[in-house]
Amino acid sequence: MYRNMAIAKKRLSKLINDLSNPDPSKRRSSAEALSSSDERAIYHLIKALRDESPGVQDAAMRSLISLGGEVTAHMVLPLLRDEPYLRNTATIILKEIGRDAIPLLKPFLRDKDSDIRKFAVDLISAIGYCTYPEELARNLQDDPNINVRASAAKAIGNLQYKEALPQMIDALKGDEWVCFSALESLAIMKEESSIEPIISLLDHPSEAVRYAAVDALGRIGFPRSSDALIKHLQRTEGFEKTAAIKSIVQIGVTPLMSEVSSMLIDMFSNGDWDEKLIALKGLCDLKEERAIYRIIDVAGSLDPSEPQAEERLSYIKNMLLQFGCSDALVDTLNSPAIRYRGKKIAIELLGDLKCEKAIPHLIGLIGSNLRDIKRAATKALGDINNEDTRQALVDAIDDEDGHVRREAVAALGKIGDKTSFQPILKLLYEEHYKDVIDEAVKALLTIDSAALCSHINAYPEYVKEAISKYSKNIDIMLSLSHDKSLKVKVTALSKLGMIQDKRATERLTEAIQDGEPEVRRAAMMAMSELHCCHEEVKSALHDKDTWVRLYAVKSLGHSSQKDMIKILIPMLSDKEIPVVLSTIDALVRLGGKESSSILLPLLNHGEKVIREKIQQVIDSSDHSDTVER
Amino acid sequence: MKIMVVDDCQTTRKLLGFYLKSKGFNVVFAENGLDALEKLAGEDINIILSDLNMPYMDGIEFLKTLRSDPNMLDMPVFMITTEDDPEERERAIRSGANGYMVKPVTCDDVLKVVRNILKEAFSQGGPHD
Amino acid sequence: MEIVLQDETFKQLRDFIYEKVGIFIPDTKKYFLANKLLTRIRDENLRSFEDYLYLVKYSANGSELSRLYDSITTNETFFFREPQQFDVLFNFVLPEITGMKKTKKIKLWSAACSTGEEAYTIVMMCAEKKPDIRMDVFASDISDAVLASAMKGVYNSYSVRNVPELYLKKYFRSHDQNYELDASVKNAVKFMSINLTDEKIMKSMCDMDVIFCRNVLIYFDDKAKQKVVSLLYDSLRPGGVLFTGSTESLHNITRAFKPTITNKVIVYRRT
Repeated sequence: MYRNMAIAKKRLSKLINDLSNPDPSKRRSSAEALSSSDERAIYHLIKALRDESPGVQDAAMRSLISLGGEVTAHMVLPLLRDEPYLRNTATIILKEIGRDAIPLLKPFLRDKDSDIRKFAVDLISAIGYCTYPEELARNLQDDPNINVRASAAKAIGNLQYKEALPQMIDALKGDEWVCFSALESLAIMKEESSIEPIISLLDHPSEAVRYAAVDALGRIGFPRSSDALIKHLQRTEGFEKTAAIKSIVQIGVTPLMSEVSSMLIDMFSNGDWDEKLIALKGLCDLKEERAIYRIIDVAGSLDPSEPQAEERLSYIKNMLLQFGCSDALVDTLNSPAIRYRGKKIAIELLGDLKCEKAIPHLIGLIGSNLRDIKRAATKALGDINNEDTRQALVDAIDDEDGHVRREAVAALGKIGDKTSFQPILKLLYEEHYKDVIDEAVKALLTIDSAALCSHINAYPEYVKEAISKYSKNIDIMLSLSHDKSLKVKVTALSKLGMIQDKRATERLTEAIQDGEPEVRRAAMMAMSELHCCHEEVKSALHDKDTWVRLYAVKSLGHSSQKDMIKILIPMLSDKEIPVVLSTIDALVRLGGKESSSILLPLLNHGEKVIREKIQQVIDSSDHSDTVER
Repeated sequence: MKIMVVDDCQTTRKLLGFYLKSKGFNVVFAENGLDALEKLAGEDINIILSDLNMPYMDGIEFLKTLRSDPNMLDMPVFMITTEDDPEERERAIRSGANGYMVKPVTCDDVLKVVRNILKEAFSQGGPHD
Repeated sequence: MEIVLQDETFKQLRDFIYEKVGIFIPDTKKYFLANKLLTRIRDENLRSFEDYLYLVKYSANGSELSRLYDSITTNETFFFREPQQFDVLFNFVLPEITGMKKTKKIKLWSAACSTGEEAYTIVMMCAEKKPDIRMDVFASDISDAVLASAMKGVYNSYSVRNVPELYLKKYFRSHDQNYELDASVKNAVKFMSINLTDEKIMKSMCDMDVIFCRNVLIYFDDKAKQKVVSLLYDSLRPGGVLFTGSTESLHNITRAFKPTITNKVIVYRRT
């Protein structure tokens, strides 16, 4: 131990010395490495914040954050009185240190320098935790500096310090700067008792205060604000009016007024995304079909490569579904101004809505030269599932685009018309894309399973594999589970686990002994679904394949037979982590709280993930003991 | 006409933003100097209103970096800050600020500054349209 | 049989993904993740997301992790994406660097290259605009699938929609509806598998003059971003520059770089 300490001290010395190395890369490396040292490095890292190289400064800052703790906070605090760069760096560090810094900030709330008081308040606000919030209420009420009071109002909101509500409401009567800040915080605190004082501000001489009051009422969200907001809406103009509409929509009582619709359409078209989503909700509440065109256009203009696009699109589509199958939505298909992405979205929605009046348009669009439109139209026809579309879909299974063929085949499968059988079967022999083959098989099984399976042995491997995946016929599955193709066999076996039938069970118990590990694996996975045949499963506990053993353990874990516990205990010594983890789960399932005593010795296991798992089990066992008491 | 408001305090951004938007200006927000520079790269900004004390890149560093780009020498930048220190004011002006206001500011204060800048710009041939 | 992603399994998957690749998946994206993984679950004949979790954690050579990564990121990209950045690279950055170094040899790294369009764009532009510069172009990604696709160098019409006519004629051969890059371009890029959060492997990428790391930082939370950006800084030689995506920001991540704006493009320099 002493040797280790000596080495550590020597290394620390070297790193600290290297902070003065003429090479900035070395200084940066040292600063970075000191993140895992201790308090002895703090002073030197603070010095390194003044290094000429921004790379070193940044590394020093990160390391101080990493070291954290009250000592670091204590030594960084004086930087708040230093030059701007160091002040600002200190605020970053202290914010990241978080709660440990809080006790040290208290005296700064009474500092004679108003800038220091403001830094302290802002830091407490950013950290979001305070053991003396009543001091912030004092700052709000009594601080001579208006910026400090405004910051205190903000901090109280962030801390949700409801005891300061009277002071917050009192602050609404004061200066615009503080009042605005107080309103922002009241919007966060969402206290019903603040509503009336805020409503009274709707008559305030300051436009900014009125705006913030309107905004706050919307965010607080109580319906009793709606009357005041609607009255305000009717007597106000421009920006304030828009804010009023937003708030009313947020509360959920969008009024049926023509100017409201127009303003919401405008907000949706020109606002930022937060405003767009609020406007969309309002338009949806009003079922304003005039907006559909615009909504589709905006949805179509989303850049799919941006990560937020998917979520926004999903939200828009869910909202549009609420409009139902409207003429306005169908009309977007024929509008030349709507971009193809927008049309694709409209087509998808029409499919989801099963909108039959869109069928003629969708049939026309299968012939589009735009790939995405064609595909979406074919799928939508499948979703609508109407016999009138049959011929168009049969024609589409000859399309050069694999996606279109797949959707057409899937659609014909849903319709289920027997006249589609031969065209799909023909496709099956010619098709080379796996997903199209899968859909073709699914469709044929739906339309006429007996006809498809009558020549099962004549089919190529990929067709048999698809049949084994999708067929529900036990005779077919049993036959395919003996197929000479490994892939087919494995797929069929894995499906037998879903069939509660003696023959299925027999085949699986047989397959557990197969020479091929993949076969045994598939059989054991399927077996674990059936919760039976425990004697046969037990033998698989010693299989050479990890996954076979894992699923054997799982299966026995679901047996509800306590005598399996002693069978499973040796599996805790398995060389593979997943098997051990699975065994732990199984023992907990079988043994309940008593399993803790079995698992306790594994707290010293060499693998961290196993130690953590055991600890979790013990902790939840202790917790349930406490709850019971 | 687009105005950039640079401040690490969300409430201040919202209030200054309201002052400007309610009078018809387009506003772009940034949380600190680095954020402002990143956004300047993608937007056509006519005027910048910036705080001084901000993390990651404060107002002075922002000014110096901005003015090191020859294309940004004429960009009007006004500091709006809680720092009521003549030395800080001097530093800001030396670093390239066109003006300096101490918070709290009113809507009229802000609009006066913006309108003066616009007046000057138009009298010089309107470089910031 | 409906396969449902339980909250506990989602948390474990999320933690695993974060630990391995630095991407944090918020609760709001649980549904998207479940949808994307269902295909894999069915392909592998698995029964549950819990089984999938075992597979991804313990599959041999971590191959499933690469597939998982593919499913949670958007790989859509194209040639000449944000061309103003390439213009700044060739008209300002490279002349400055070669002037300072007094050599025409440049090391450039396209980090998170996806299907290779960015790296290949740079190779072609270099051949046209700066034929005197000898550029070693490295391109990396964590996903084996996209790297394999990148090395093939075959693209659809979406990918080439921004390619100027001159480049299309000179460097691509079209057949069916696809476009294949000339071998001279393909051979000019060295592709490799790199996880940007893996310190050990990142340390092997050093002395870079230019790094492009675009449209991948958006997937990381601040903590992972700080780690990646710090490693990228260390990979640059002094005076080297980093380009990020125009919608990406380092503004609450680091102050190590010196940002400059040139022709409305922000470039981060290691001083």
